[in-house]
Parts: sequence; C-alpha cells; structure tokens
Amino acid sequence: MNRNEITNWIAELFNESPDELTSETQREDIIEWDSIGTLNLMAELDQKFGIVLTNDDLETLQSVGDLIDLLAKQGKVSE
Amino acid sequence: MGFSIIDEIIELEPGRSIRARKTILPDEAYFEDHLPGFPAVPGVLLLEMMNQTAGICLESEDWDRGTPLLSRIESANFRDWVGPASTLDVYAMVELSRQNYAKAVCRVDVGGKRIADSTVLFSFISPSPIKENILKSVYQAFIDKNSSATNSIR
Repeated sequence: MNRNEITNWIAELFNESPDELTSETQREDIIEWDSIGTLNLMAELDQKFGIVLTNDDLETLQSVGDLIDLLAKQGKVSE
Repeated sequence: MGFSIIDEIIELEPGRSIRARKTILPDEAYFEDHLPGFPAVPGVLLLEMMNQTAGICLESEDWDRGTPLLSRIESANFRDWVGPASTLDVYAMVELSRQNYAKAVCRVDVGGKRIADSTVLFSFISPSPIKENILKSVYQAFIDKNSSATNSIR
C-alpha cells in the first residue's frame, strides 16, 4: 500500500474522511481513536499486516504520521 | 431471567472453535411481547449467544490472560426469524487470539440454515473482577462428558 492508501485505510478504520487526515493529525483529534479504537487498530494491524503491537509501540503512536511511520518501518508502505 | 443462555457445548477445540446448542422453549417470557402475535427471539439474544459461545472457547484455552469481555461488534446480521421451540446451533471460530485481544467469527444455525452471524472483538480484563463464570456449569458438563478435555476455564 502506498501512503495515500494507508491514509485511506486509517480513515476508514476510525470512521473519518480521508480528506480530513494528514500526517500531523493527532490521536486526540480523532474521535474514534479511543481505547476501543486502539483495540481495533491492534487487531487490524495484526490481521492485515501481521504486526503485533507492544505497549511501547502503543505509547509512540500519537498521530496519523506515527502510524504511517510504524508501517513504513515494518516495510508495509510502498513509495 | 438468568443470562447464561447457552445450554450445552457439543464440540470444543479450546481457543480455536466451538459448537454449542440452545433450545428455545415454547413459552420463553420474552415471547409475550416480542413480538405481539409473532413470537420471535430478539436479535440481541442471538448476538449474546454467539458472544457467550465465543467467550467459552477463549476461556477454555490454557492461557492466563483474564476474562474475555465483548468490546466491539464488527458486524452482525440477522437473516431470518427464530420462533418458539427451535433448536439453535451456535458456532464460533477464533480468527485472532493475542494476550490483549481476540477476534471471533460466529454464527447461529437452525436446522442447518444460517440465521445470524457476527464478527466480534474481545479484550481481556485481568485480574478479573468476576467472581465466577456464569457458564462454568455448561463448560463443566462438557468436561464431564469428554474426559480427554482439560478443565482450564476459570
């Protein structure tokens, strides 16, 4: 998936419009990125990308950009 | 009305899959007004049957991670009515199972026909504040009939 597709996936996951999300969008600005949203994110990352988040990983995820960076580090983002 | 709504476990592969059974009595209390002149098992009860069945499957696994709690209903479909005196087969397949979360795909069949299905996400609460699992007796009955199974439900 390229960055655009990843952003669309994040938007769908949190029930946001892709047009409203940028790398700078913070977690607290996404209504559905709460504890249940985080749980859903963990399950989706696991199922879709084979990524199992640790508690340390979770603490670093504070924005859409952090999430994209995590996927990039795991080699899941194509240019 | 108690809320342990599964009668019997038929098959169980701990942490992976389960088939349970529920018989709907002809005179269930909720038929009085659900629905007037057209008795039908409420969809929320079908959903809860699927949740409880999946929960038993997760708890039967020998993994001390706490009690599974329903956290998200990813999808739920109710495809037909279930009336009085029906026998329901309730299935759950665990798709994903980790320390903090698990996902299960569930369904309810009547006479081999799919009536309802769901995909649900569980989190785990540990230490559990729950004194005793309400489905322990259902699980114990299965264990008693299947001596090869291990008793790991808490």
